[in-house]
Amino acid sequence: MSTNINPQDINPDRIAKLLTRATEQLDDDTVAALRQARNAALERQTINEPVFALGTGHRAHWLMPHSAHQWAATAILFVAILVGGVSYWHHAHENEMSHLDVAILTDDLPMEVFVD
Amino acid sequence: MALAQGVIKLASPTELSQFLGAAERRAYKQALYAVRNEHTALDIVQDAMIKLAEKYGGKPAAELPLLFQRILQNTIRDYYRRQKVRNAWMTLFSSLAPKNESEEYDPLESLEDDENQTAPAAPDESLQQSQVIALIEQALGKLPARQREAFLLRYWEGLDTAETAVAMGCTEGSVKTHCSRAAHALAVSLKVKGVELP
Repeated sequence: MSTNINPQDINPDRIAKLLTRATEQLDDDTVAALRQARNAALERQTINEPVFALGTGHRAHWLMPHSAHQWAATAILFVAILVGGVSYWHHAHENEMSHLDVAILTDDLPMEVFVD
Repeated sequence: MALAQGVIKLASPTELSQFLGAAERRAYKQALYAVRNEHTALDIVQDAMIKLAEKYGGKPAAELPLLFQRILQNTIRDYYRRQKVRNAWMTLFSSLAPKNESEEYDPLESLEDDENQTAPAAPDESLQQSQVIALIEQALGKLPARQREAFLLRYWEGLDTAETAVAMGCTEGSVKTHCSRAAHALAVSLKVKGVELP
């Protein structure tokens, strides 16, 4: 009986269409029960926010420059901070040396210098 | 909502609702073909929906169909396992219980309508189609579970072979084998009943 039947004889797409038609003929009680089940599921939906990845990504992203102008401004700011820092260090060092020179010239060196 | 730079789009409640609304009837029918009980089928679909929403509600919308099918098939398999255990216990208890011959036998329940007088006299096209659908559903119900599962996922849910294999937890080769056997069995079953599908 089954030996001369080819599986290609049936059209799966046609069967799928008929099965879909069958779903449209469900009775009202079943449709209502399915809607109720769907609502119950939706009430329990969890929106899983990957907190670490999202948080870090957004904050870092907000701080990063987005355009060429912003990159240039960032570079200028960086150079200004660098130059300011170096000049401040240089000035402070110079001040320290000049204080020492004045003390030597006025012979007003503190006692601990001689102790060493 | 977007992850990091908006590459992956996660499912919003509306998208999940739309997906479930579109999939629930087919899911119910799939469960019904498998367990042949309307209430149990509804329970299975509800369990699968809740599991999807609770555990994977935040997944990208594109992943929902495959995830839902996998959950649904696993829920059906869990039902089979529980049923097997329950049947084992029932067999044990029924062998211990005293035998009670059918006290409330109603002959009307087994009365056959030989002359088919309750059927409409002139079947129209929609009735014919309903009968064909009923025969197809009957044939599907008689298929082995794995064959039916593969056939429905592949041709009704529209999953490709790889996705069907993931949903069923087997190899792609097994999916092809199950689909081929299911198509052959359906062809035989429908031909025997005189159903010709265009």
